[in-house]
Amino acid sequence: MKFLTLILLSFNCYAINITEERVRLLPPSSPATGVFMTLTNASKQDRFLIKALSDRAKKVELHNHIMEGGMMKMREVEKIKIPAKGKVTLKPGGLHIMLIGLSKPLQEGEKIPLTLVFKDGLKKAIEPEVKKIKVQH
Amino acid sequence: MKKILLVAFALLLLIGVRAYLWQYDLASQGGDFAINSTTGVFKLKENRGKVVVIYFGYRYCPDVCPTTLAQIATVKRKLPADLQKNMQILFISVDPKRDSLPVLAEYVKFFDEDFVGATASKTAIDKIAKMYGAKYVINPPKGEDPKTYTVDHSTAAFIVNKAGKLVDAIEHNEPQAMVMAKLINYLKETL
Repeated sequence: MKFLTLILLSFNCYAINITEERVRLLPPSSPATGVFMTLTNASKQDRFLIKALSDRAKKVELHNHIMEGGMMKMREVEKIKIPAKGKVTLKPGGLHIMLIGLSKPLQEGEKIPLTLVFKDGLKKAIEPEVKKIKVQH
Repeated sequence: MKKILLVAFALLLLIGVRAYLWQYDLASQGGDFAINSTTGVFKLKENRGKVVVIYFGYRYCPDVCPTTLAQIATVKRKLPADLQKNMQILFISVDPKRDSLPVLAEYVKFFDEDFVGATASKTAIDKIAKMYGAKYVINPPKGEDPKTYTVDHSTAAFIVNKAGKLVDAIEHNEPQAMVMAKLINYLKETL
């Protein structure tokens, strides 16, 4: 019983769900690309994505875009908050995970191993697929 | 007193909004230029009769540039063939240090076979950017690798009409239907 409670507890703690994860296909010479997804937090506490790791890139950073002085500025952020009982969407023109220094050009349909690290120590391994840019309607 | 403050606040707000709308002062900007491109020297003057869409960006841009380029390419492909042939997209890289013409050629082709990529010396780029009211700032490299830096830049794509006049801009994330309507409007103009 205790064991079950523990499982349930940990399940609740780590109730972060990831959907619509994808890596953007860019021209083969592009040294960097963006990873997008929606993170949903079913728990009662705010969660924070603090790091992402991948073997496919030299560096992985958390970024945001800010429109300032008529220019789009891309800046590294320390963490991305996933509010309690809420969600955050990483999407083009906004928050994203950036893969810098790709080990080889991306292939459409390829799955990129990515480990998300959260503030409470949770690690979540995902494999977003490389997809073509979806144009907004 | 409260009333005065309120009026002053409203005025400030109005000025602010106006200033935002006028950040691309189209009427007084634009003009002919020539720049080294992936298809030889690109001369705007030689494109009379065509609608030219000019975008200032950089190849290492992972998100904003490809989004806009992909959108314009999609819209272009949806246009009737006779209008398509009168449309030219020019991607000017403001990052000549990392973007040579051969790599730019491959980069623009990813979006559309007919896109032209261009770049030049900083002085030459600055001159064209100023003419069109485009802004950019190359940030200092982060960490030990001198080649990892980001570039802040205007996100608008500038529309030059068949007469060579800067007439409009496409904003980042502008709905596709609006972009389409704008382009069709200019493409249907007769000189």
